[in-house]
Amino acid sequence: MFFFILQLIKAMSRYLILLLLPLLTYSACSNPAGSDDDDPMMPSFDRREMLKTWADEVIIPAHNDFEANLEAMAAANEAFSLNPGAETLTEFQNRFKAAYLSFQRLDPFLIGKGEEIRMRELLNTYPANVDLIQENADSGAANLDLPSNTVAQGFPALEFLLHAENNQLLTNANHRAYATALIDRMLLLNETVLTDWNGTYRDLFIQNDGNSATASIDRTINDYIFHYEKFLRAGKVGIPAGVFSDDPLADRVEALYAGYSKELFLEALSASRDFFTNRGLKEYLDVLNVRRDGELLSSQIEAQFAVILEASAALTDSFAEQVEVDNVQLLGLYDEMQRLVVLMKVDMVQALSINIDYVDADGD
Amino acid sequence: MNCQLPTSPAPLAVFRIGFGLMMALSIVRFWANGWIEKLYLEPTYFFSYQYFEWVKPLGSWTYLLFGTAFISALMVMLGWKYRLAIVIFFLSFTYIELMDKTTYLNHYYFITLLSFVLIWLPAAACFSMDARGRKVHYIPRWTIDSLKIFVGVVYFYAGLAKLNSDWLLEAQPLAIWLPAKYNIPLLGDLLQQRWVHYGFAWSGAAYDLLIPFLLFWRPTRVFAFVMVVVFHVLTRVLFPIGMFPYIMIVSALIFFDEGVHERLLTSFQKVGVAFKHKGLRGISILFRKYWRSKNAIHQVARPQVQIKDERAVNDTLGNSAKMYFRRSTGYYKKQSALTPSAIIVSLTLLAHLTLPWRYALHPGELFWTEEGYRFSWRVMLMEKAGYLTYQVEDPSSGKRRSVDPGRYLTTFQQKQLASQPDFILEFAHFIAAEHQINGEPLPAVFAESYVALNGRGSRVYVNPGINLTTITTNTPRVAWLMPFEDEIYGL
Repeated sequence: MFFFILQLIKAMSRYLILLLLPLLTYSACSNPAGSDDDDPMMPSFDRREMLKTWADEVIIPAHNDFEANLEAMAAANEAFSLNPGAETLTEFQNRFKAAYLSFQRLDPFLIGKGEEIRMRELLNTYPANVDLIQENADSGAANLDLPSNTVAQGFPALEFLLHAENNQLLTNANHRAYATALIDRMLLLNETVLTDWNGTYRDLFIQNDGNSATASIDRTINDYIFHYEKFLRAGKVGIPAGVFSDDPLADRVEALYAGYSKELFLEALSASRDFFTNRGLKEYLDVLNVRRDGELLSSQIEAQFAVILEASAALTDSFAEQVEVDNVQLLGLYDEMQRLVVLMKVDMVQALSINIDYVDADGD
Repeated sequence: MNCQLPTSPAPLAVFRIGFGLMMALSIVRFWANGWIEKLYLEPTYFFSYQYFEWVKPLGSWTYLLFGTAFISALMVMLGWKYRLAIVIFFLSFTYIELMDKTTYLNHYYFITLLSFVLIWLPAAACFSMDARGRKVHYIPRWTIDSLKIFVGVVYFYAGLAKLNSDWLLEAQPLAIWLPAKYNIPLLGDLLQQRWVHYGFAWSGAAYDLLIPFLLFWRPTRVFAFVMVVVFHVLTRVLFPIGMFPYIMIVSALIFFDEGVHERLLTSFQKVGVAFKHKGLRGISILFRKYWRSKNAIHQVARPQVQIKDERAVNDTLGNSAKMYFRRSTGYYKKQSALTPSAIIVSLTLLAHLTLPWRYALHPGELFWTEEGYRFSWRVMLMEKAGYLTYQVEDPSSGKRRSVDPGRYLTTFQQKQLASQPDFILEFAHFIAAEHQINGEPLPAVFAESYVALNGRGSRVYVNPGINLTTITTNTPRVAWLMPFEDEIYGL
């Protein structure tokens, strides 16, 4: 019998190379990260469906919602410009706040065009450069496309014009004109991104449902975690609390002049939490039955979100004030947020085999 | 078995051509992917191997370095000034590998090792530009056997390393990696199944352990080679491992008899002639060089025809080699058993066999401390990811600040840094120097780090209370890492 099999193998071996050839060609041509085939998904979890949810129920609505809020703010600005007064200013400030809050829900998902045009940097780099804002307003012809003007536009700049002590919005037409220019630019930037999503990008995004550094799931999760780590954890909490410096830096808080850093923080946190819990990630982890130390990883992440919310409950509205009065609370919040970075960036990313680099490289 | 027996130089020639070609293609691919730029020009910091701190990328000259490796690989393939070419290839390739520890891969080490061994082997004895007009009939048999052992040990040791409880009992890390390949045609759904993970794990271990022997034993050789192709093609489809599968497939050819290699060389020649006849002069120039050396191969082929007449066709390699030997006693006499080449190759082989066991000299779990993990053919054994920031403490004020290594490193470097102790230590010293104020003592540097290994939850990795500037590369890693709370059984 054994001898027979050997003979058979021997006889076949002549033709085996013919069998192997297509196999070799297949491997040479196929992209192991394959992104362009619509092959059957895992029966229990549809990744493409998750991408659809992300595009149609999270990202595009966030852009739409943001646009509506920007337009409302633009209208309030127009009313104010026509009739500068305490009442119209308050309305303007209210609309500004609503727009700033809605930006927090969009912020974690600035991918594709939004990333390309640096929308986050252009809209929310703080602290704003006060001198540059004054200068730009006075000159009346600032080129906001210049990288140097990143720190003199977006919400922080507008916030300075609207909320700084001794603000000149009521008295200085240059400041009003600059505010209008800033709002126009915000509208334009959001429109650029939204047009791209409504055009071809949505379908490209959904079709790119493979597993590689450039696939949509990998990129979105990377950007989502990156936003949590750099902007929610470090930007809003860690930097002002002095985690990255020898001393606390109260003037680095978001909404320094308006004083509602906590509200913005909570809105961003809730957007992050909602994305994890309700938009597919939790389900994805559970379908793969990812358990760590006997407990579902998704439960651990959800629990940590709750802990963070609790740690922020007692904070005052203005984080600048919080830093000066009782920074330990803010540092405590930072530590809890740090734990969540580990759970998401190490455990979750590993469990889902998300590629953390933007470029594919060889492995062993 | 007398290893000094002379044998046909054809297998070495095929190996040389395949190796040179694969290396040249690898370099082209590396270059075309923009990796020279991304891995060696864009980063501002590079992680060094101990004793090789002086090896760094050369700025724009790095391209010249890759160009040198490419040209020497082509020269190796053509067998033109072979000894010089392979020395240059070994040096340039090894230099590239030493520039940044971040890019370490076992198969790069394999290439460094192979190219070093090839320096000492007469791989250009036939079918090469060097061999034009010269007649080299036979080469010592150990020169081919040593390559078989080199390739075989890689597989066997990779198999031994898989004999651990994570791999065999948990099917880790495959259970993490395979489900992510959901959109591979045909296999995607299967890869979600737990039993498939176990199937891959066990058959992978069995494959690695058995394949050298199946290749060595003539009756199973063809079957084994088919397995080699299937296995490596599968790994190519499943994992991003670049040129490695093709390199291993070509390397495994060395196990075939000289007759197979001679036929291969003859068909190479035919291709060259065909090109010539079709008037594709440009392409044929390359082959013509070989064609001119066809004298050399005919010299080799002729005695074999005579052997066939004597009905020795199914003899083992050893026996037919003996027949050569009887016809060419002069050659054998000239060979002393211990040539410098043989000694050097033997010593390299000894290192190849012993180096992977050095981990036993260090305390602690190998997967956790990674002390002795590299250069040991431990391939695909770990899914280890981490998160790391440093705390820098000002020596005079005692104030602490958090330093994100991302300020200095690429994403790829950060990924490697976060889970490998020698990276963490080296970079802690760099951070300390970076934050030292003129005239002040060195600040203390602590690591806040977490690592998750093979499906276990993330754990604190480096002892957060230890000032890493007080730790040297000679300090045992168990002294400054947190203890590994689990147990991994096996080799």
